[in-house]
Amino acid sequence: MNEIELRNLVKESGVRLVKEGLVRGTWGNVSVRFDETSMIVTPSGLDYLSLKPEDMVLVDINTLEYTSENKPTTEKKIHAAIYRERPEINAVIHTHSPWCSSMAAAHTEIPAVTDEFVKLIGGEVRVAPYGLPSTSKLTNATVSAIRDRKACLMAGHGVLVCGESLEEAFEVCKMLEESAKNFISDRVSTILGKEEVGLKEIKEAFERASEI
Amino acid sequence: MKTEDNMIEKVKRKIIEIGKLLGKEDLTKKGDTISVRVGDSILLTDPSIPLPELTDKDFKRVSQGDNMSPTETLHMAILGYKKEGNAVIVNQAPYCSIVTGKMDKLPAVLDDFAQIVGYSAKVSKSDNVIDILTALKKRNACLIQNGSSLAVGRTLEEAFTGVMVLEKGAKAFVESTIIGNPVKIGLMDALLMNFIYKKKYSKKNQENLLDQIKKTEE
Repeated sequence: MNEIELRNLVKESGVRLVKEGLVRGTWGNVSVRFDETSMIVTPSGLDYLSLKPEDMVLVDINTLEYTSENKPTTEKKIHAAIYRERPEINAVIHTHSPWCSSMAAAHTEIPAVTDEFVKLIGGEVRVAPYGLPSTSKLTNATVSAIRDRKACLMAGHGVLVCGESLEEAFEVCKMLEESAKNFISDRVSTILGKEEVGLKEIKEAFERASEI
Repeated sequence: MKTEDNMIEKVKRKIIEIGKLLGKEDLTKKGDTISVRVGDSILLTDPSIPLPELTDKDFKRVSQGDNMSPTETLHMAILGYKKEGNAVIVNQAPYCSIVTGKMDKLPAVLDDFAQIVGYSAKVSKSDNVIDILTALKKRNACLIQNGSSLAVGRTLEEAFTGVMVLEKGAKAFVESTIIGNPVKIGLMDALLMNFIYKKKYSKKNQENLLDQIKKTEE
């Protein structure tokens, strides 16, 4: 794909993430590898639905330099580090999706419970220890947690996924959110001994868990 | 005079828009209210009208010295206390309501909560004005034991973002407690992020959030 096609692809993926409820507002970011030394990333602080392909930022993955007026996402260091370390990876997505955020708040791994999950993601989804946004500490922790995997949770923050294509990264996002939802719902079921899980049951399980 | 009338109409339209978005996000129930500072007075929604159903006739302008209802007194007191604030949203959101019955404060377990709301949001022990102002001390958002939550913003968009982040933080806290391990954001990290947000975060980012939700709806 040429640069214009890739810029379009990033833009469309951002819109898709919003429509699927996986990102909101300006939270989260998307990138694709452009060539061996550069990536195309979403800009900082602009919402996905208003973005135009020309708003995307071409960033050098070694120096993090860019020439456009728009600033690249503040998490560009993480995206670049993954492209440097893993030549097979061509797309990276960071989201604050609701169920994964709850797992990230608990610093709790998402277990690999199906063959499909292992095949797509590579195994259990580890948690990168907490680091302040945009810091080297967060970058190093995230790159380490996602090693040999297509996803990791970022403690107290959200989720990072990568793929050989943007389509694959998108599939990982969806599977993770579904798995996180199932994990939490199973825990509610276990606490209450009930199959059905809705807001009423979540409230009841929270009240019981708070008493322990 | 005409300029002021135009401004009031513009504020009403913005509040109506926010009311619809709160409905779309399932963050409101009957009795919820929004107010915006307009000069020395406030423009407040009618509590008997659900926020998603507001029309331009469902507003009241209240000034100091007027004979006020408890709701009007509350909004006036908050905007009197929070001099930098210009908008207040009082709403009932599902996960915030779960927390209010059980906790005296909602700690930050996600860093966007720490950044925008602070290290924690306190739960006011009643809907009494003094209790709510006490819960809002050094904070721009709080929960109320009756199941409501409240966010103050420099703009209406910022108050809306506060409401969204409160609910997201409440969901993460409730569910991480169920899993067994809610981990609080460290105090120093939270203070630092909150300080940077207050100094740097632009109004543009808040407007982007609203634009996006509206477009998703289209």
